[in-house]
Amino acid sequence: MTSQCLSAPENFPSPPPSVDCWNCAVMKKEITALELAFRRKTKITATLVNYIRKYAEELAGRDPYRVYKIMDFCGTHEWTIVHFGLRSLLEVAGVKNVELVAGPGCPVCVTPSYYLEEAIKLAFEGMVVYTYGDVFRLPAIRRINGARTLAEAKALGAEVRVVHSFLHAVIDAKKHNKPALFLGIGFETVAPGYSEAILKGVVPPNLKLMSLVKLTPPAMFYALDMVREKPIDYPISGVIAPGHVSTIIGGKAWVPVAEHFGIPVVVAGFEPNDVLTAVAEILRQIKNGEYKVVIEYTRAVKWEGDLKAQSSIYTVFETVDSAWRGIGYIPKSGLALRDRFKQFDAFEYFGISELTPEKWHYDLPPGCRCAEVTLGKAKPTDCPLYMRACTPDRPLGPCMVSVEGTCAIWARFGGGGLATEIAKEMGLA
Amino acid sequence: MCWAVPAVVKKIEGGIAYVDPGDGIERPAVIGIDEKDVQVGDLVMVHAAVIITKVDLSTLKESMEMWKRMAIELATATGEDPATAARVIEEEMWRVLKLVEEVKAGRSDALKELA
Repeated sequence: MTSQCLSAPENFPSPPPSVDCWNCAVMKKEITALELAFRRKTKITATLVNYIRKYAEELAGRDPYRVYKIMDFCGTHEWTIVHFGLRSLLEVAGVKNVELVAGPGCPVCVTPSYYLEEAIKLAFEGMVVYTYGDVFRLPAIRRINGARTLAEAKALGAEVRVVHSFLHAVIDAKKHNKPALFLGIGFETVAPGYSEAILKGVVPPNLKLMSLVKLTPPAMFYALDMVREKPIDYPISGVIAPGHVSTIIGGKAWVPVAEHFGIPVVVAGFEPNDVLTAVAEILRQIKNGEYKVVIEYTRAVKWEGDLKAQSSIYTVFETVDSAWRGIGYIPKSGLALRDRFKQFDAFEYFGISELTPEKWHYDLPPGCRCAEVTLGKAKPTDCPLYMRACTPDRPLGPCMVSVEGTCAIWARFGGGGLATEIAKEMGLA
Repeated sequence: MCWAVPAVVKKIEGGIAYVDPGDGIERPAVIGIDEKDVQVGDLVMVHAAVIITKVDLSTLKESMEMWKRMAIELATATGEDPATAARVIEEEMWRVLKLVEEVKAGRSDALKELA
């Protein structure tokens, strides 16, 4: 395969000067589709809510004080829960002993400040830095030449370009041929995009990848352990596993979690009914004393995942210990380029020294509780900065930036107005 | 990092797929999964210009059966008619399945209504 395979069609949009992910046309379209899908199936929703209530009541009969905490790992599941007000919907329906807890599923929130600072530095040194829209506004803990974010660096004259994807950066980097860096954040979902582009030979020699890919199963182990750490809290009783990450790694990847902690894990889709089905299945399993991995999102996820994607990822990358912002090192939770692909490695090419456990230092602003929010130990409203010093327009902490950050989702979609309206329509309130 | 959108594959050239998420604009995407599985006309999920899975809409019938079982279990417990409860689920899902048929028949604008 030669590099000429990859040519931009005439109407291919050039990289925008900045991207507002909340108002991107494709995202708006998807939100509308999700809302339509919901409105079309409210009777199924009512059935699911009644089913959840039945099992919740049966469990309450067993132990009236117990709260069943269910972790929704993925930022997009948290979006579904908040946007459609599923927490208030369950409350209105009389489900008092089930709590949905947001988990670490937001890559922008957990990317260490160090890498961002290195990227800002390189941008000022004249390299072209490509980044996703939500990383563009992500604040670092230290200022570099007066800039705390890549957006500020751009305003001060540095070359920062916002792209929708790695492919976009590949197409653009070929045009200018200047040394360029791609800030490669993400989970397993984006990894095959990076590895396939490298294996197909479409990445131009001037574009280097800074691989900051994180792996979700190790983070889930860590988050579940952390919540158990406090004896006053009830442990997580079940997990809603990320749907699109699982298209790559498969339902099988969650078996160790289910078996180690003895809790049900349900891989769910992103419609409100998908999430409610997952909650219903988790409660059913708890009541029957089961702890299995079940795929609810069968239209997209297979038990074994995509073997081709898995093989492509592990051909190009190796698993390494990785730092999570505000949290520290989680063993075997990141992906780095293997030696034979070092020619694409930004760390190698630009001489960026890798972060080590000795060099890592706590990298959240004073007062910010993003790490606890990420691990499901605190709610955004527990943070003293939330909606006071830290707002979506002027984010201080990383959880307030991304479309998948729990604080940003609560700030933009909180309130549950839609849920109450729907609950009335369904005769639940 | 789970935000992905459904799109229809319009053409495949040199290992890169061009997908339409329902607005008529074809966008290039890396095929992250097994290329043998992806053909023109397929419905796929696209995440940051990476095709991460092919959507198998025939499983919607499985979902319908699962919800029907739940509705029947509920109705039996509360003393309602299980057949009526199952029919309510079927009626709602039929509308969704009709939409799916339209997408399969190549009407990608029907995607606007399919999440």
